[in-house]
Amino acid sequence: VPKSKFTMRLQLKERVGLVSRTAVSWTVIWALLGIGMFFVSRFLRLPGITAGLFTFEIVPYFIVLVVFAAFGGPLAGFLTGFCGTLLFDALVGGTIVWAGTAALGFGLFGLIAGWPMVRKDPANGRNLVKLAVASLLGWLLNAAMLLFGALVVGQMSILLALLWMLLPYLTTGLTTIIVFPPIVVRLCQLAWTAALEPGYHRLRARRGPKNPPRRTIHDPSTGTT
Amino acid sequence: MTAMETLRRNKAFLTFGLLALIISGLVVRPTAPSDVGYPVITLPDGRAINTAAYPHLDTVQIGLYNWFRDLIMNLDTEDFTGIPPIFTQYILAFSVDAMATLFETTPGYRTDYYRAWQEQMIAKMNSSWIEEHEWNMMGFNNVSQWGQTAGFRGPGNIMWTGHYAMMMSLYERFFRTGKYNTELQSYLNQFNHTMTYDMAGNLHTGGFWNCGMIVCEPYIVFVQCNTIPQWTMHMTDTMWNTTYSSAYEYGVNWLMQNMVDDHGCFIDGYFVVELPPEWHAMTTTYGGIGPARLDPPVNHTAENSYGVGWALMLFDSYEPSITNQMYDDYVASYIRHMYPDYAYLLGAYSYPDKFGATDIFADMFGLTCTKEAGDWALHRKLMNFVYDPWPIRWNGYSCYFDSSALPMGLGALLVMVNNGFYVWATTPVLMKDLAKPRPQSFFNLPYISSTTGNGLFVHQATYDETNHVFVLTVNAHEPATLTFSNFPGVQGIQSAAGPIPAAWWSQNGSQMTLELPPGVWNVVVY
Repeated sequence: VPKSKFTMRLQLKERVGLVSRTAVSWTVIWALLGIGMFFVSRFLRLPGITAGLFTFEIVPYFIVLVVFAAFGGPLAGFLTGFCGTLLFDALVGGTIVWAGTAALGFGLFGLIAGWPMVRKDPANGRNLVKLAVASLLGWLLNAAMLLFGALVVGQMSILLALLWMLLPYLTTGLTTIIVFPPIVVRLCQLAWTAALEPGYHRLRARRGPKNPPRRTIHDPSTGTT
Repeated sequence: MTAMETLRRNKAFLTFGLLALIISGLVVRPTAPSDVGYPVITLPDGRAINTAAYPHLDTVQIGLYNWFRDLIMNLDTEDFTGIPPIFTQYILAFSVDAMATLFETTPGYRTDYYRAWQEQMIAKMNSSWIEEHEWNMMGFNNVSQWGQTAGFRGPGNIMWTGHYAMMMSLYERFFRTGKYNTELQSYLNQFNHTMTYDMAGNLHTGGFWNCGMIVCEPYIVFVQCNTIPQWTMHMTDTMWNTTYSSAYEYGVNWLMQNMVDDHGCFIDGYFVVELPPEWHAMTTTYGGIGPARLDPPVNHTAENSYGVGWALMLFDSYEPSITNQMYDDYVASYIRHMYPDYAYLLGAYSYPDKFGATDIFADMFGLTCTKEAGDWALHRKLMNFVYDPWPIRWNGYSCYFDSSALPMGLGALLVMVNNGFYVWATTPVLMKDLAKPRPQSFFNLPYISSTTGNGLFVHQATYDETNHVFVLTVNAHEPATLTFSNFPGVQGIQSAAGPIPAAWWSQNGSQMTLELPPGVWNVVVY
C-alpha cells in the first residue's frame, strides 16, 4: 500500500497514541501515572561512588521516564518528562528552571525513548536493544538542551555548566540509561504476563467486548488495513 | 521450552541483566552507618529526659573538627604547611568562627581538645608569617598609612585587627580565663578611637575617616570587614558590661545611606580618602572618593555577593533590622537555579556568566547567611550545590571533603574552606547565639574538664540547669575516661537500658570520673 499523506498522518497519530478515543485514554492514563511516578522518583537517590569529579550512580527517575515512555508511547513519554519536571521545579524548587528549557529537554528525552517501542513486544531482544539506543539518544538530546538552557537562558558560566552540571549529568546517567530501562521494561512485561494478564482476560471474557470496532485501522507494522 | 531455548530467546534480556548486576555491584555502595541516636531516658525518680531535645553534633561534624585539629596541632606557630597560602588570615579567622558554633553545641565539654586548638589558631593569626604574607608582601607598607595609621596592627588594617579581636573575644566567651583580655581591650579601644576621634586626637563624629567606619586595603571601607569589629564590640559589651558598641552607631547609619546600591544590597567598597597618585595604577576600582567601580569596569558600582552574605549574617546579631530589610533583595539579586533542588549564588550579579573564587565564597557565606536567616529551603539548595561534588573521606578519626580532583592547587585551597563552612552551615548554633555570652554563673556549672582515650566523639554535653542533670552522648572508639568538674553529689548515671554500673564512676570532692568501655553511650548524670 503506497504511503499517502493520509496514512502518514494516521501513522503519526497512532505512534503517539491518539488514533482512537481508547488510545487517547490510555495515553493520558500512562502520562498521568508517569508524571506522578517521575515526580516521586526525583526524590529517590541511590548511593553512588565518586572518583574525582566523576560520580557514578543509578538514577531512578531516568528509568521511570523511559519505562513510561516505552509502555505509554512517545507522547506519554514527553508528557511524563515535561510535566513531571515542571511540577517538580514548581513544587520543590519554587521556580521554573531556565524558563522551562530543562523541562522541555526531559520531555524530548521521553518522546525519543518511547518512539521505537510502539506496538513492539519487549520480549523480543531486538526491541530491547532499540529501546536502549533510543534512550541513549534521548538522554544525549536532553544533555544538549540542559547545556543550551544553562548557557543561553540561564547565562551560566561555561565552567559551571560543564563541571557542575553536564559532567555529573553524563557520569551519573550513562550507566543508568543504557542498561537499566530495558531490564525494567522486560520485568514489567513479565510481571504483567504472569500475574495480571490472565485475570484481565478472564474479566474481558466475562463482560464481553464493550466497544466493538467500527472501522479498520491501518497497521504500520504490517502495511495492511 | 528447554532451558537452552529459554536462554537463547532471552539473550538480550540476560545480557542487560548481567550488565545491570555488574554495574550495581560497582556503583551502589551501602549508605554510611546511621549516626548515634538520642533516646528518652527515664530517671529513677520518674523524670523522662528526651536527649534529642538537647543540641548535638553528628559524626561528620566531629570528624571535620578532628581534621582541623590534626592539621593545626601538628604545626609550630610559624609553620603553615598544608594551610592555603592565599586568604590565609581569613581562612584562620573564619575557621575559628565556624568551630565556635561547634564548641557552643556542646557547652558542657570544655577540655584542651577545644581550648588548645583555639589558642594555637590565635597564635598563628598573630604570627610573623601572617604579617609578612598578608601585609608586607601585599604592599600595604607603612608609607601608605599616613603615619598615624601605620602598621600591620594599626587601624588601617581592619581586615586583620578585626578578625584577630574576634578570635580572642570568642576564646574569652568560651573559657573566661582572661588570657587575652589586655590585648583584646587594646584593640577594642583602638576601634573605638578610630570611629570617634580624628587623626589629631580630638573627639570627632565620624572618626578618622568621617564615616564612622574603619578602612582596610587601606583607603577603602568595606561593609563586611567592619561587621567583624562591630560584632566583637557588641558581644564584649554584653560580656563585660561596657559601651564600645555606641561607637559604631554613626557608621552603621552612614553605610546605609552611602553603601547601598540600586538592587538594595551593599556595594563592594567605598573610597573615603584621595588615593595617592602612585596607587592609581594599582587599582582599577578607584574613581575618586566614593563608591568603588567594578573591575573590569561596567557601568555599575562594585558589588559582590559574598560581602553582602557575610555582612547580613553578622548584622543579624546586633542590627537585625538591616538583615530583615536587605535579605530578600540579596537573594533575588544573586540566586540562580541549576536544578530545582540545586541553587548557587552569583559572585556578582553584574557578571552572571563568570565563576571563580569569589563565587565559591559567595556560596559559602550564602550558606551561613541563609542559616542565620532561617531560610532552610535555600540553605538546602546551596548545600546540594556546594557539597554534592565532593566525597567525604575518613582517615582514622578525622574526615574531610575531598576536592583534590580540582586542578592547579585549587583542591588544597578548597578542602579547608569546604570543611570549615560545612561545620558552620550545619551546626545548630547561630552567630546571634554566640553574640549572647555565657553568664559568669555558667562557669560554675558541671562540665567535662578533661578526657583520656583516643577517638572519643562527644556528640552531646549539656548541663540542664532546670532539671539539674548532665545530658551526655559519646561514641568511645577506645576505652575512655571523662572527668567532670563542679559536679559534687552525683547520685547516679542512667542510660536508656538502665543505670550505669557504680563501678564505672567515682566521686572525688567536686570532681566525678566516668570510665566508659568502647561503644555509644547516651547517659544522663543526675
